[in-house]
Amino acid sequence: MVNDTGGETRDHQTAVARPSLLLTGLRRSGKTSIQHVIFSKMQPSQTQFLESTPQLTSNHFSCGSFINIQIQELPGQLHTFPSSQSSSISGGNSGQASPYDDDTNLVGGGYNMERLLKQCNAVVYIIDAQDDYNQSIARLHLIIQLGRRVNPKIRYEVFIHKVDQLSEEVKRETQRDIHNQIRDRFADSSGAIDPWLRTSFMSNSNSQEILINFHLTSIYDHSIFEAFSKVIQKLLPQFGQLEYLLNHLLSASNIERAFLFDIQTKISIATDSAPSDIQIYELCCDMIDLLINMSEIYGQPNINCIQDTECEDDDSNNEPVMNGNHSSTTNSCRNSSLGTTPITNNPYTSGIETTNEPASNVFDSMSSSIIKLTGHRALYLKEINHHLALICVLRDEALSKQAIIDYNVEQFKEYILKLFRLNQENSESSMSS
Amino acid sequence: MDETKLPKLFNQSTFSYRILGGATVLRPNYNGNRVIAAGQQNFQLLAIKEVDGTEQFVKEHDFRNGFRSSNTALQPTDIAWNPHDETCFASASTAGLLNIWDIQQPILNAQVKIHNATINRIQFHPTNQKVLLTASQDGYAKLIDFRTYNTNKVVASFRHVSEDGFRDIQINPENPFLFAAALNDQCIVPLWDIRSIQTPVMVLTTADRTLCLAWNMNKPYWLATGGRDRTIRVWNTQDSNVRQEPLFKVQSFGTVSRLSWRPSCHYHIACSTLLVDPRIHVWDVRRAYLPYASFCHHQNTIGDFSWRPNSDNLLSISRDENLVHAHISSAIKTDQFAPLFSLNATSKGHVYSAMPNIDNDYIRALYSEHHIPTSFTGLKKCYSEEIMSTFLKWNKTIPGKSIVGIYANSSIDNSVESFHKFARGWTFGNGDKSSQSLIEICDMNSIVAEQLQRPDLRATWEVIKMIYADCDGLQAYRMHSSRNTPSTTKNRHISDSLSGHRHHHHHHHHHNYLQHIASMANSTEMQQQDNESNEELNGRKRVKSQDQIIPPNSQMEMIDDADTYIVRDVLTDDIIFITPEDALNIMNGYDMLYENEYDIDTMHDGMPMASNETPSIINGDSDMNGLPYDRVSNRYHDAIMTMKENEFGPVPDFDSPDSAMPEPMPHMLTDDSDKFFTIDESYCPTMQNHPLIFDDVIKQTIWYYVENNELQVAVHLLLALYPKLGDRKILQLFSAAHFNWIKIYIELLQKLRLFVKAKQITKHCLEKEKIPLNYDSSDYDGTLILAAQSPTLKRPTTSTIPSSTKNPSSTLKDFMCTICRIPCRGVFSFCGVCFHGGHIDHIRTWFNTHDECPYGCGHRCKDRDTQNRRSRGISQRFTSKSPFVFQQ
Repeated sequence: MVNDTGGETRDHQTAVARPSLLLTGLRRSGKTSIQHVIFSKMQPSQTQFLESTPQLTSNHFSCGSFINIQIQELPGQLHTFPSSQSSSISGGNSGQASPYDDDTNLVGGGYNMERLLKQCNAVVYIIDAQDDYNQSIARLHLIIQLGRRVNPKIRYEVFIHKVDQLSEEVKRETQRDIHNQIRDRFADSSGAIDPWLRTSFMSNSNSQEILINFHLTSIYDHSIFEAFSKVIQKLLPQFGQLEYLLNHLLSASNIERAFLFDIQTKISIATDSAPSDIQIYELCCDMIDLLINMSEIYGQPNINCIQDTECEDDDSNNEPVMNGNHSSTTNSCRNSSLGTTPITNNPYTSGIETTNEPASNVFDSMSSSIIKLTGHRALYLKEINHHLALICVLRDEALSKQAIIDYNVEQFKEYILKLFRLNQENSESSMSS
Repeated sequence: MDETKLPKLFNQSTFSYRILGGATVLRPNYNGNRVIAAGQQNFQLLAIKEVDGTEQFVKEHDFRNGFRSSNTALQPTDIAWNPHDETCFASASTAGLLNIWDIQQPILNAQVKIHNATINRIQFHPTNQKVLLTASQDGYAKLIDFRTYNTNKVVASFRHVSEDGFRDIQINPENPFLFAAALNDQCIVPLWDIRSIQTPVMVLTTADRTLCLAWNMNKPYWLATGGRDRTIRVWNTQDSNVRQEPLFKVQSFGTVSRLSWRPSCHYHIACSTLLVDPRIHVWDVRRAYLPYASFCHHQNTIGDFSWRPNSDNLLSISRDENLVHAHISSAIKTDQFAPLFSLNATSKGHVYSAMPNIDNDYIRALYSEHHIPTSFTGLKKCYSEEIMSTFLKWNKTIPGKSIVGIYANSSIDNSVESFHKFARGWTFGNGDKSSQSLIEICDMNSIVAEQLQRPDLRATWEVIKMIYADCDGLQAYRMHSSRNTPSTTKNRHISDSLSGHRHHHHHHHHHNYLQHIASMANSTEMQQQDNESNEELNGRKRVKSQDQIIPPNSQMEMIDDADTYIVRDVLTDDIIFITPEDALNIMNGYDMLYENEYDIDTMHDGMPMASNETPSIINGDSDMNGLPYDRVSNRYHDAIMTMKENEFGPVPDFDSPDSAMPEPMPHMLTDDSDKFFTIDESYCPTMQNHPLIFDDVIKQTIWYYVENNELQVAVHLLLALYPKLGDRKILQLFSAAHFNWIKIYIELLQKLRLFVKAKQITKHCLEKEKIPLNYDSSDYDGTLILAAQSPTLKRPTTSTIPSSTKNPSSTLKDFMCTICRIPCRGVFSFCGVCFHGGHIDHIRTWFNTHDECPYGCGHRCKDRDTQNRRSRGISQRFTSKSPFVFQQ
């Protein structure tokens, strides 16, 4: 189980080596769309032309070699469950029979649900909020029941999806209704089946075993990115340390907020511990877009950089070169004009790209940007490695000591690289052993 | 003003103190004479002292001075005063350290490592001074007892199953064993008993992540929660029902970051938001749609705030580096800015007006409690019969502008064949004036249009059908539904007022909806204007109504209190989206709308408003096109910015706190008394039904088609709509140009040998619609269209384009074929740009081999076909989809 405090669960983590996420939901609920929007930068409007996915697909989320999360998409139309859920629930009255029924059906459908659940750390279940979600909830209930039996440590993240069409009040009502329905199902089934379950989801001992988080999401705004970030963050074994590091950076450099973003997917893999707001998240996403777009237009191939990035790709950490290069080429031509003028956009980019992510081919070790906003706010972006960027929100007075921030960020970068390398070594050693 | 009679505990003055930026913690001590401001760069102890007769902040100690190195203890994340020992306080740090300080000889007494991550909140136990509760990001809330001897002093650890970090905790002031917690990513609020660490005694289910909590001091079982969904919810924690609905729900303006109940009134709660809003709003939870008061002393996001204990003074720090002490009397009472009168027009033809009730408890209470001195006549005048009646009988037209969606013609087929097909296919009814026949015509014609691959025309017909034929049924339906709803919602007064009036006051976003047309066009894959614009300016919104309302036969319905809530039911659907480019037009209409209010507004300071001309909002005949635009906008710019809704008569003196007039406002009644009046009670909304007039839309549409050489469409539209609009209206709209169009069309039909159709139309016009067609074929020989078209293309008044200076009749009388030099008769064609052309056969053969103009002017007529199709507009009115216009 992923744990924020990290250390004590290290053993477990390294044994698993790769956190795995199971993405499922009824058919046409938007699973593939979500993946495409997040991981392959598909325009949300294009997703309506996507065909439904016929078979189990698997995707990897990796920031370079740092993070490695496997995302499996289980299609909704597979008959992984018997068509009449009610019979299986009522059949469950007779004790353990019902889950086995499920199992046979699962295997018959071609996918061993039990095995999938055993392997995964979290289940992302997508409910189409614009559709009638009763059937969806029934399926979720079955998954949770099965999951609780085979792998009680699974986190369940329910995305109440396609909420962009709904008004604010309807959103809340939908969420509340879904929440209540799920709770009712567990209250019913636990009351009917066996007494030990009763304690697990009753009000006084709320969901002792099952963790269900709800997210209202839509691919047409940033909510899907934010929700997915939350899911990823929960799965990251290093999240606790990252948060600690970010907090430390904050207090040392007089920064207000700090985020660690994956450039490619705009997923924030870590934040500081202050309460997050979707607006700041959007701001950061837009900043990434701006930086990438500017770099793509004005970025020029630089021979040094090519070498540099290649080294980086090989080892994912080549500190001497990076540092040296950074100090020599960071040119922050300050332009204190008002508004949202990007001040520094490092034009040095690599012309060739050897990694598999095309969008990051202009993002390299010298990418950095400072944007001053109205309202005495500024955004500070610095590359951490080829895939990660640190984005800070700070008051523009704090920029008067930008050297300190630069230095601290450099230190922070080093620590993060060390942290991930350590982690990687750990997992490799455990894999080999 | 009652507040001034209260024994003055504290000074009510507003004073501020400059601190460094980034302060996020502000805690006054329990006596209210000391305060600690802390944050990333601050850790100061300030005293509130009377200096020279006025209260001020005086710096007592800066804890950061003593230490040179950067110590996380000096960047507290939270501060808690010991309630029993006023020299002692505790601070929490990002490193999980708990520090105990003594302020007498400012030193750090003790430092204990409690958590592995940031401590978000600490609180001393209210009765036991040695016990302290901490909440940390690492997923634990810990109970610290300083009397124990173990190293970390922890006696109990609480952890939620989700292992999420604790964002906020608060111990119940009445039952010190109970505390509530807000978790990081959970939409639940667990309540723990300190004595049983295993499971929470109760769990409240909120809708989104909760960020802050506050127990009510006076009603100890009321717990307020606020979070990401911008909603403040007040829960009854004695109700153990897991599905309980909150007692009160208040929609705030942003992510709620901090809540604090006002000490002197248990219905009032102050709230600040995370990012956007530099104000601290004090909400009356019973009246959820309008803040009771707003502290507007800061220019930037609020860091933290706190009520000064046992007073109505609020202390706040903000990112603008100020620490402000302000009394509630210096806050802006938003309800006093709410207009007494408001109007709203919907696209479905309803006009809603809300106005003060002359005779209800609220008004009587106002008078009986002598909040209004008898000498003061302003309010009386406001409520006078005269004004009320004029307001009730308000029936002036609002001149509005409508936006016509521009249809792109997807398939361009200007051939004679398609003209034939359309002429044969389209019907124009039999003079029946009923809606049913219009529906049939529209259906028929739209089917024909679709068959002939002209989805744009199909859309036009459907829009016509929607506007003219369906609207009766629509209105009947709406009336019905709005009549039905109030009964179900009546007893839930609070929530009703929440939702019902959200659309009414100017703090809320208010979209209106007009575009049947746009939505129709959307459905048929047509290029259209994107009519949405989000004008969210800190939650402020202007109400814009854009519709034309026709007054004369309108029927006014007074709606009694039971039907008060109709407003909500209808308004939610009726949204007008306004494009930025239409802002110009709207500005015009909007200005006109407020012309008279502007005058009133200038008068209103001090002097009661002028009465008799108030309701004549609009001079019905005034043609705004006659007014130079800049003059209009300049003159009324201020009025627009300040008034969000129709303010017919703002209560005088509401914005001048130093006015000699005592505040005639009811807010004193609200404090804890049973006489609480919502705005619902003081207002009596009414609803009027006006048939909407889409004349403007029709006019523009038909003109559009005429100008784009779709005369056929225009004439058929005209004929179909003739029964609906009537002679007079059409004459007024098109200033007799339409006679020409019909005649030309008949002529065209004849020339194309559609004699039967031509005869049918002639007969239809003469017999069914009584359209005078003085048909005289000698007037309309070969150059007929050009001769007729040029004058018609001058748009009556609206067009800013200078009309053609050519004298069309003389220059075009003899159109010479450029090839054979013989004057053209019958159908001929010419280039829309260079005006050269000739007999069709000649021109066609010429362009089989050439691109340039046959006349030799050098214009590449053929190229235009591909280049300029899209940007066809009024300025290029002679251009067409093909380089040549067929004429006869």
